[in-house]
Amino acid sequence: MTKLSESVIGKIKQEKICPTPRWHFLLKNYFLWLLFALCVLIGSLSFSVIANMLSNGDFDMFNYLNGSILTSAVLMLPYFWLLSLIIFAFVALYNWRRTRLGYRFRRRWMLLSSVLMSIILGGAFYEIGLGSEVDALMGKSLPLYDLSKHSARREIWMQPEKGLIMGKVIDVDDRDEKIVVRDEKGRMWMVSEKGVKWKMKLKNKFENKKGKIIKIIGERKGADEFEAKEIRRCGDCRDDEDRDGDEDDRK
Amino acid sequence: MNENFSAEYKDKTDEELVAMTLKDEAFYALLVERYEDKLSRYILRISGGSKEDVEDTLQDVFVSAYKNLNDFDQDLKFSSWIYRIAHNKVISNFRKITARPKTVTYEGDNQLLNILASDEDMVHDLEKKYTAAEVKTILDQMEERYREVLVLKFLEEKDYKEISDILKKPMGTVATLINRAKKQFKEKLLLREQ
Repeated sequence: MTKLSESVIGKIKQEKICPTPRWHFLLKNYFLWLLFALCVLIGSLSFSVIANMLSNGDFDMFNYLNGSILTSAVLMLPYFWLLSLIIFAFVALYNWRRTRLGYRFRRRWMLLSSVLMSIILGGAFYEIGLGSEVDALMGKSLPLYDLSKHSARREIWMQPEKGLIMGKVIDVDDRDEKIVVRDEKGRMWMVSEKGVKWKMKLKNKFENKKGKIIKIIGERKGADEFEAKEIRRCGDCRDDEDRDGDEDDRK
Repeated sequence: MNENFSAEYKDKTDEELVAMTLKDEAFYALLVERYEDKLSRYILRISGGSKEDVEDTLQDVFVSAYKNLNDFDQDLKFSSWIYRIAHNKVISNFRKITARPKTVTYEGDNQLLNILASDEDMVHDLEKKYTAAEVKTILDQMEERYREVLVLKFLEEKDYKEISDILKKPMGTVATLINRAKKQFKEKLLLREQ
């Protein structure tokens, strides 16, 4: 036995040092993988909301916007969710790197892989409607979230002089093919929808138009009159059926 | 533990000795004896510390390795695993003492370093020999991340995978670091000669 080996064995015996149990290392590794999976999951949910917002976006409305296309595109981007996707991609990378064999992969590929996983899973979540659910949940939980989302939309759709209005359907006259719409400022509009097909953004067919929040492209005919050429349902707005209680009663 | 004991188990692989140690700590002495010289030289090479500091660090390395023995598995070689512990101990121990660990080279090293210095893409007089002292000076001037890969590759004669496992860096990164380290080493060599 060499002097060093004697000293090491002596210290181990004297201080009663024992090897840390294997389960400790396994648990640590599994925990890191779990955190990684959680980050990918949150990233996926973020992506599903992004997909939902983009699919409900009004990118064909650039012509009607006040600013440049770039300004408008900037206004419409879902920043919160993009930031969430990026942050959780980096957190996922951090956790992956700390797994047992995580060091063997280059950071850029790990980051790319976790983003890709989030996109693929997020795409699946979007298809099953989770994107809109999460968006709605955020709107209910955080009033500021809903407010910031609406302000961008309002920028585009509250331009009656340019033939754009948005509001809730208050009343329906099927015989004369007219609807009464109340916009966010509380102003009432009489809208003629003769021969206009409603463009639905959601998969579920709706029968009752009352209470739905819609976007109208058309022409202003009078102080409070509007002739619609196209009507779109607001895909990520909270209609009456999505809210608790009756909004009209509250007003 | 007598010489017969060591001789009896000298053909056992590191992995077998690890398994035996987990049942009986006495077998750990065999692993210590197997690696003490190599690790002592390595620690001295990358730290340049005093004999006492190196011995203390070496003991810390082996005690730490024993504590974490259940963390060792067949994904990598035992030698890479224990070199990794030694590398990390030097970084943490010597950073407390000095901001910049110094390199130590042995007389035998200059031959290996001449291989580095006389790399085929170097437009230079290949008969030039470098003393260990010259090589040490140049290594000391280099960035730590370049120095550590050069020491592992050319002095410890580790391959890319082993270096990757020791430093916990991807193999691609190791290859890049070695290329850049060689380039920097040669630039400094040329500067010295001018």
